Amino acid sequence: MSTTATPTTPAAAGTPSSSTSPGTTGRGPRSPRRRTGRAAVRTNWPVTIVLLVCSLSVLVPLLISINMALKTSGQAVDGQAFSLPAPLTLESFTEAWELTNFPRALAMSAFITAVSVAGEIVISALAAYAIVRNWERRLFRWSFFYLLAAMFIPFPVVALPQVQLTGILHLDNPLGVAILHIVFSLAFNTMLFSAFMRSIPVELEESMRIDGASTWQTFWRLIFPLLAPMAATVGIFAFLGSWNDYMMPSLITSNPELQTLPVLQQMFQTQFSNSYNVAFASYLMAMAPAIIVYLFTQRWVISGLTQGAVK
Amino acid sequence: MTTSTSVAPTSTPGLPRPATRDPWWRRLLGKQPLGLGMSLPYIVFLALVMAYPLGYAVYISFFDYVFTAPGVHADHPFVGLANYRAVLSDPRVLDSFGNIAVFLVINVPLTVILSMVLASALNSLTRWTAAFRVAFYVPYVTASVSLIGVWMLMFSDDGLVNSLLGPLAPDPSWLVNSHLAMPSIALFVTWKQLGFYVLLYLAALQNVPRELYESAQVDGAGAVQRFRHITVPGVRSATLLVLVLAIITGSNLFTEPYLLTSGGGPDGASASPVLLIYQKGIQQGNPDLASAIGVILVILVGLLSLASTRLTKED
Repeated sequence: MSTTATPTTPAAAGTPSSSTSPGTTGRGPRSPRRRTGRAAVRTNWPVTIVLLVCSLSVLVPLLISINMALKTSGQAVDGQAFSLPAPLTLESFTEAWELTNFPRALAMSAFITAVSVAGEIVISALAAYAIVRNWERRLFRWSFFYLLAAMFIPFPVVALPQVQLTGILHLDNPLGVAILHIVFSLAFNTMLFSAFMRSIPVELEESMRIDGASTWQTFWRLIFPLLAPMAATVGIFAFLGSWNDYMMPSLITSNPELQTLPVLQQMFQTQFSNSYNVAFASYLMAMAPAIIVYLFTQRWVISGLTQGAVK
Repeated sequence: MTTSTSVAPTSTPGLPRPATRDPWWRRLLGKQPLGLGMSLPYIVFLALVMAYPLGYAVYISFFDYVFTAPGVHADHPFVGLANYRAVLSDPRVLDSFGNIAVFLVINVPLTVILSMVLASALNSLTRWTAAFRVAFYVPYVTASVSLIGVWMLMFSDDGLVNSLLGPLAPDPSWLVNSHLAMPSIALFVTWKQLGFYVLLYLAALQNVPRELYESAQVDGAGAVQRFRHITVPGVRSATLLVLVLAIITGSNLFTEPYLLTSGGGPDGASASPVLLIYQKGIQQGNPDLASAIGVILVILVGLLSLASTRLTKED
């Protein structure tokens, strides 16, 4: 079975699966380029400089945040954003930790994210499988467009009935937020999964059927493992979507004790608007997990997208 | 739902029909009825969490509606289009749609152009690509709330941007200037989302055959010509996706005006329709008016997405 685990379509062949080897992190899809000899050695300076200038728009704010977070409260408000912290202190991190009750908020965010990621992968993979393999049936075709239509309905428009509904069902808590995250990203995920699913040959399944496997078994033992590259992509988007979401938890969760990390950051933009150092320490702590996760997983995203969304 | 009632035994031309007709339930459900079971959680889910609230939102937009505590009864008289009339004659609502138009006019072209150019620049580089990519992704993978804090500091009255600009700094400053608030938000959103769209384009570029560039180069096409005649048409499907996604997310702008300009300030100059839905529906207790805005918004977004689909298909 493991030999069949890389369904490379002709279009995706440019994305070598060798990108999974350690050491080429993040450069996977580009590696065939290096074989083209002369051009590969030369550095394209104009392009590099343009990119460098553009990336400054990200690096400067990031450095300012780190710089600010390391300052003392007194130095943070002196109006000189570029001055180096003197003395260097970590007190703002400990203060932010206590103010936001960081461990609890982190646990809430982690819970919502974990449920969303697992739910989004399993449910949209199931739906995509059913739809793609029954594409010639009208009901399934229609249900696909019905699901896609959901992509065009923004959360805010249904937010009011949503708030009421979750209240009635006693889901005005992190679990309810996770369920809503799952639903609102299903359209995009099913689109990704079903595009990928079409590249898996039906013959694979037929041979398994002949061996007496049921549909359920076929899905879990054959199809789901084959979907792994796309599941990784979907999982990463699911992670980012729910980890960073502000609106849904802030509207749905009624108990402030159960609030997620991003929502808690808002307190620094109102109440404590003067303690920049604490605010920035808190921002950095809130963004760190997402950046770390993304750094380790980004190489799967491009290969997944290449085979799914933008074919 | 609607689908099950409207299955008529008409055969669609061009589709292979089985020679012997199966029983109706088999035609409806396919050879594997389990398939329906697999997509059922999704469909029920969507029905409960999307279709029902959407229908409900449309419903209350035609009534004089108030939310009550559970068990308390209140009259909800039917008022026809009165909510729509009220909303459409409210200058604040009209302004918010105007604001979002300003936003989209800045955000969407800038997003498409910048992400396409940056992605192909990244794609043509051989060194330091990983570092550059990470740099562009950082804003995207970070929560808006945190980034907004950074921008508030940078664009404040005595912030970094103004001290760099010196005498050129706008007065009043960016986020409290009624002309510059919305463009500032548009820039912020473009900057924040760029990483995602660069990613989409990078993925699309992997499917553009490299031989095309090489033969174009042999034929003497310059870098700009290669970009125009190979890259741009080569990633058209990605452009369509980027356009639609940018329009949808842009029209649903909420977090940025809510936090960056503290509730659509100054004086509603950066209010978005969704922000008004929030303010009217949840803060002021007028769900009927809020729903009317929502319905108008959904229709406009649908039309815009449709138009952009047409546009990219034709050229």
